[in-house]
Amino acid sequence: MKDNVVVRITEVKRFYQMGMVAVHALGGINLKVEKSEFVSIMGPSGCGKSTLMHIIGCLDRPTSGHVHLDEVDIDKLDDNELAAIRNKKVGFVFQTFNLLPKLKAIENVELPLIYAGVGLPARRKKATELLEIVGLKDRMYHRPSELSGGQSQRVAVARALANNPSIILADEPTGNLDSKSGEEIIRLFQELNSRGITLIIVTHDQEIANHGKRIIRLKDGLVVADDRVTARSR
Amino acid sequence: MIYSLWEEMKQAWRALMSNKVRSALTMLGVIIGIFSVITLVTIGEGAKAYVTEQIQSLGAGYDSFVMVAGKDHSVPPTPKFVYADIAYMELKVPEIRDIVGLNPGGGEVTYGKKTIKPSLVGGVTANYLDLMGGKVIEGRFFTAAEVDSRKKVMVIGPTIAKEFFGTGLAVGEKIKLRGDSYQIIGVMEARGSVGPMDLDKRVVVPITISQNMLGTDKIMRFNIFPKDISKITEVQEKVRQVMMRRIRSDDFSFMTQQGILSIVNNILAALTGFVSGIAAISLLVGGIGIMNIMLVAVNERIREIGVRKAIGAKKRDIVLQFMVEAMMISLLGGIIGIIVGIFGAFLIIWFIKGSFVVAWWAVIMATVVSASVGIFFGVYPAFRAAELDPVVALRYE
Ligand SMILES: Nc1ncnc2c1ncn2[C@@H]1O[C@H](COP(=O)(O)OP(=O)(O)O)[C@@H](O)[C@H]1O
Ligand SMILES: [Mg+2]
Repeated sequence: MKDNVVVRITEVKRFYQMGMVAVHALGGINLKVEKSEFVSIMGPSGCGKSTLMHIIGCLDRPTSGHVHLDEVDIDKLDDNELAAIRNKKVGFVFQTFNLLPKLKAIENVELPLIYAGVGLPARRKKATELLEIVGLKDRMYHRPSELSGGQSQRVAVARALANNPSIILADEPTGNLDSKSGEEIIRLFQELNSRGITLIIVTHDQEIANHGKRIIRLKDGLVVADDRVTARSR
Repeated sequence: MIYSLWEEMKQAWRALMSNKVRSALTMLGVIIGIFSVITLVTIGEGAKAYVTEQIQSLGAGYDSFVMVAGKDHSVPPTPKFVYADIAYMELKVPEIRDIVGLNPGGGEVTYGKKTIKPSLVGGVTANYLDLMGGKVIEGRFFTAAEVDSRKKVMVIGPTIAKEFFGTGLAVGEKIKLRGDSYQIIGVMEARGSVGPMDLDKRVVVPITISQNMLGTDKIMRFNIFPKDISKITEVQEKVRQVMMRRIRSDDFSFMTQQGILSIVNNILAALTGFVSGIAAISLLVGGIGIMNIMLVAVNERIREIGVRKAIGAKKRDIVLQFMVEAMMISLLGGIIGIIVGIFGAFLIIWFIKGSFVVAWWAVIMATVVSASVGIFFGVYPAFRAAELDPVVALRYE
C-alpha cells in the first residue's frame, strides 16, 4: 500500500523569526494523504493552513521535519528540482485565482506546459481539453478581466491540472466566490476526485468541507482532529 | 531552451506593448545614443566615398599622385607649369615612370546645328587614356607627335558621339570648339561617371592646343606615376625640389588618394570619438533608465513572479523573462535609433548632395551594443526577481 501515499508529512515544524520572537506557524504536524483522497483542511485564521499547503506543495521548506511527495524526500532537492516538482506533481489553486491578466484563458492554462517544455501544438491541444473539462470551451480566448470569478477559478483549476499532477492543492478556492460559483467549483473538484485525482482544499466553510472525504482540523499549528466524512455528517 | 526563449520573447513583447508610452520613454536614451553614432558614421562614410570619388575623378588612383598648381584652394590658382616641364621632371627624377599632363577647360562643342556642353574639355598628353584608364572603341588616340605638333585633333566620349552622329561613324568628322575646327580621330569606350563627372561626355584635345585655347601656355595639373609606388613620398619630395628651383615658386601642391583619405579619416576619427563619447553617456543613462524601469516592473509583478514560481518556473526562467524584456527594450531602441539615424543621414546627405553609403559594420555594431546594454542593465533586476521567495511573493498585496 506504500505506493499509494502521495503526501507524507513527518513532525513538520515551521517557525518564522520575527525579530526576537519566533512565530510557530506549524508546531509538529504528522499527516499522510493517499491517492484519490479528497481532504479538507479547516481551522481558524492564522492557524497555519496556508503554511502547511505551501510546504506540501514544495513552495516552502519546513524548519524541521520531513516532507515526502510521491515518496520523494523534498529535503534532498535543490531549488530547481523543487520547481520541477511544483511544475509536474503539484497543481495550485488560489483564493484570488492568480491568473496572469495579460494572457488569455488558454494561455494561462498553457503556462505550466511552457515551463515543462511542451511544444505549442501539444500544449494547445492539452489546454483545450482541460478547458473543456472545466466547462469553459467557449471562453478559451477571453482574458481574465472578461471572466466571472467562478469562470476564472475554473481556468485556474484547468491550469493546475495541466501537467497531470499527483495532487491538487486549493487554498480557500471558494473564498472569493459567491455560494453558487463556490458550489460549482466544489462539484468540479468532486468530479475530478471521482476520476482519481488527489485533492487537498483549505476552507472555512463546513458545507464545502463536507463535500470531501476527510476533514483535518488545525489549531495553533497542530492537527487537532482528523475525521472521515460520514454519510451522516453530509 | 531556445523554445522557451521564443515564448519569453512573445510575453516580453506583450508586456512592452501594454505600456507603450513607458517603454518608448525608456528607450529614449538608447535611441539617442545609437541615433547619433549612426548618423555620424553614415555621413562620415558618405564623406569618405565622396572624397574618394573626387580624387578618383582627378585620376589619382593608388599608383599615382596629383601635382596641381596653387597651394591654397580658396583662391584660383595661377599655373606656372609648361609642357616642357614633363620632359624636364622625367629627366631630373628618374624614379618617375610616367607623367600625364592635364588642362581642364570648359566650352561647348558644335556639329552642324547641334551644340553640346561636354562634362570636360580637357587638354591632355598622349598617354592620358592609357594611364588614366580607358580605351578607344573607334579610331585611335592622338600620338605624342601630334601633341608636339599641335594638331587640331579630338577624341570624344561615346555619349557625345551618339548625340552628334547616332549610330554613324564619328571618326573623320569635324567638330567646332571655341571657333576652331577639330578633326575627330577617336571615340572613347563608355565608362560611366566618376563622382560628379560623366566620363562619357568628355572631349580631349592635345594639351598643346588647349594652351592656345585657354590663352596661356601654362598647365594646371600633372598625374605623376612613380616606378615604385612605395617610394611615392620620396618621389614627391624630389619633384618638389626640382620644380621649385625651375619655376622659382612653391605655389603648387600634391594630392594622393591615401593622403587625402587619411586626412578625412583623421577628422572623422576625431568626430567619431567625440560623438561616441556622447553616445556612450546617453547609452549609460539609457541603460540606467532601463534598469530602473525593470526594477519597477519587477515590483509591479511580484505576485506574478510568485504565481509563475508556484506553477513551476525555475529561477532561470524568471531571469530569462526579465532579461529578454530588458534586452527587447534596448534592442528596439537601438533599431529605432539605427533607422532614424540612417534616415537623418540620408536627408543631410541628400541636402548637401553627397554620397550615401550605409555602413553595415556600424549597423551591426549598434545592434550588438544596444542589445548588450539591455543585457547588462537587465541582469540586476532579473536576478532580484528570480531570487524572490515564492511564498512571500504570493502573499504580496
Ligand atoms: N512570512 C511570514 N512571516 C512571519 N509570520 C508569518 C509569515 N507567514 C505566515 N506567518 C504567520 O504564520 C501563521 C500561520 O499563517 P498562515 O499559514 O497563513 O495561516 P492561515 O492560512 O491558516 O490563515 C500566522 O500566525 C502568520 O502570521
Ligand atoms: Mg491562509
